[in-house]
Amino acid sequence: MLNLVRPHRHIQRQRRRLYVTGVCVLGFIGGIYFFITPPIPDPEPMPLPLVQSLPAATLNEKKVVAATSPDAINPCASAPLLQVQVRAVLLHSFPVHVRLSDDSGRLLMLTPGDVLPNTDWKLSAIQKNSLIWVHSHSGCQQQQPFMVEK
Amino acid sequence: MLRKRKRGTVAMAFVVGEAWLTIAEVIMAARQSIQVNMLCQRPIHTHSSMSVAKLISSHVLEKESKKHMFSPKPFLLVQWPERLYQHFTVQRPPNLKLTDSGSVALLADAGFISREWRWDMLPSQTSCHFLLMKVTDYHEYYQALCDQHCPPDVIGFVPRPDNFVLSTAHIGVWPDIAAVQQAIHFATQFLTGHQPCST
Repeated sequence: MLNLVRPHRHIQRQRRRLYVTGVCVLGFIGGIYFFITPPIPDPEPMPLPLVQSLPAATLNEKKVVAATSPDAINPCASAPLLQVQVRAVLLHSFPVHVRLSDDSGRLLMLTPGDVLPNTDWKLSAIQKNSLIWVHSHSGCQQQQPFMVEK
Repeated sequence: MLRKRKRGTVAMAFVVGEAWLTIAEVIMAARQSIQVNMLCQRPIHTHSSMSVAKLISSHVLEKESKKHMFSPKPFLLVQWPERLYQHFTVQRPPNLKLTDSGSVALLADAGFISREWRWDMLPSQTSCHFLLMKVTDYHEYYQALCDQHCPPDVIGFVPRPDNFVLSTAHIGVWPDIAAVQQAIHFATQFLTGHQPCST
């Protein structure tokens, strides 16, 4: 509609000004947000203790030593395999004893300090979730874990 | 004008014509109500810009005083005598920019200097409608209305429909139907935004 009081070009100009001010206000707010608020620091890696790097080095050394010098022999290499399965560990009874079954299915009952029959393995201790065996000839110490059911 | 008018909006169109000062009061509601008054005969010859403004403002104030407190303010539309306007239609150039300079150039092509005229342009798909009024005339009439504390919302122009044949013998006695049509067109066009059918 033709209107001489508010011509179309005035309305358009007003609308343009409104948009421009809107964009300016948004830009201003964005500028404040991006430049004035302190930037969030990048997450830095946590400083790891030096110990972490040592085992790798010692492991490598050990490997090298084991490969080169035949003197230091792993004591467990000569020991025979321990072929028993833990059936039950009676921690609450006294003396504490374990029930084991060997390959043939025989049930054995051992207390700490007993020797597994027909082998050189000696049950040295019963821990909370593992048994500790010691081979009497080679001196190999082996830990046999078991599951604690709750 | 695509925005929707509030319900119950009142538009009062004053057409200062050759024969009558015609007032159309259109209320947009569930039912559109139209009321037409003819205030005085031959306003061009009997009134100056000041007295026409006084007449219009007194009528507006009379209408306003009858309303209750929260009713919306009526929109005031005024059409001055036809001889004050220049209106024409030009072909729309293919690459018309709807900026100030583009329409000013279009106006200059038509032979008008944009500084001397108060003007408005309405572009459509194929053509551009121009309405012009001398700046001095515009301010004379506008200021007269502003002095009476009723600044008009629209000063526009609706061409006089020529499908009404007037009997010239009774022109002073009978109401001017064409002016009535003009005033109603003017008010409804403001309220609904529709262009009047080609007259």
